[in-house]
Amino acid sequence: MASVLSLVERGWRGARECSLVLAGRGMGVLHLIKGSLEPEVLAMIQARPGIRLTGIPRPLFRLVLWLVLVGQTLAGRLRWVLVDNERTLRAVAPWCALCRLTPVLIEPDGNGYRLSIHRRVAPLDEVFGH
Amino acid sequence: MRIALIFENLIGATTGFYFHRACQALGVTGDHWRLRDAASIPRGYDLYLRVDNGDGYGVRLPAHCRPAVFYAIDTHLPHSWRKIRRMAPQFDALFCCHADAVSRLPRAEWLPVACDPQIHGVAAGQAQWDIGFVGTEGGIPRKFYLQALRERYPKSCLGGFDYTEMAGIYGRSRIGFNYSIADDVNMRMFEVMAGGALLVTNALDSDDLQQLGFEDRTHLVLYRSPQELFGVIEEFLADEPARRRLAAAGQRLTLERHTYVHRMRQLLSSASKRLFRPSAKSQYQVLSEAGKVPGTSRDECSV
Repeated sequence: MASVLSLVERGWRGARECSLVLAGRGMGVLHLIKGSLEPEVLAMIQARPGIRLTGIPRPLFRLVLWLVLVGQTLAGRLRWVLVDNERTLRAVAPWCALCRLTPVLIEPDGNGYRLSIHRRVAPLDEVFGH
Repeated sequence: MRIALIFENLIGATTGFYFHRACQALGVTGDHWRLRDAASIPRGYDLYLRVDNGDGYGVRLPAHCRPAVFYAIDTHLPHSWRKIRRMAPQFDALFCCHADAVSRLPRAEWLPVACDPQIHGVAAGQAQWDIGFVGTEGGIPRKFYLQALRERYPKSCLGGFDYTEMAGIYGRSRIGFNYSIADDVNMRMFEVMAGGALLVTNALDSDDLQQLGFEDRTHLVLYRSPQELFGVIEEFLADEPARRRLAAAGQRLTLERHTYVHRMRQLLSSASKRLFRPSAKSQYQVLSEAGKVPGTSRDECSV
């Protein structure tokens, strides 16, 4: 059961490393990746227990994003929406506010990543709870 | 001989920057002009070389800037390619760093990117990292390759670092990873080999690497799938003598034949045949014949 929906459009490192930590805490993460993935590349990413990955053809990404976001919300499976760019953050923010989901922006930071909620950088423990 | 080098910023790790340094090494006067100042470039240069910096395609050089040559780089990017194709007719000759663009542009010649031995070609140090990579994460699939490498080989140095750190990173890496996004011969290939690491790069559809003298498992190692990538990495991390042998052969060939001095020499040689005024042409030929232009004599560019 996914409790985090991760919308992967630009990077991958941050979303991946974050999801490894969350999966280790028993939280489910579904990565929706913008762009088709060859089976051999998908196999290389090595999904782990609690982490699911799906590559979406670029033209369909927005449509699938909303179908999954609405579907998972109505199913009561979501608590956080992880995005990697401001544009998508702005797009999903109203829905998140309406449905009491937490939108989280993940951005590269040196050779790591940083998380922010409501434009405030916050450590992972604060964002997702201990 | 005087060349006006026209590109936006004289900053490190850009092709314009390396060409500017190559001019200095060749003893050719290379003056940098920013693209935004194109209107004030004076007459009197023997060559006006516009180096693609991914921007400013709408800027026209003044009519007196002749002969004018364009070095096209971003021909693999659709939005840049359309603009490059539109601006191409205003130049007397074109050089492309991607071989596949040569057939699509009139009067174009292939001039691959290269390395700068002073910046990239340090002697290899004690290996500290298994894998080295300097650059951006890129898109699909490179960003996935990089993350998979991070997870499998934690003793690696993979990320965006300043160009001045590049030689040190590759010099202390056993293997330098590359994934060519546009199926082209890219800068990283030469940077890795010049730095002394074994280049492991994806196989290209074309024979561009072979045309440049690089052979699989002689100077570098090619992979065709993620499985093959991890296989060759394991193989060459385990076989230190073979890794060192191939890395040394790659470094030797790179420094002997693939520096920006060699590229600038090729550009000037080609331009001298096609475009130069007699006075400039003879000046270049005299320098070349006397071996005063580095790269025209056999003993240039030793490791």
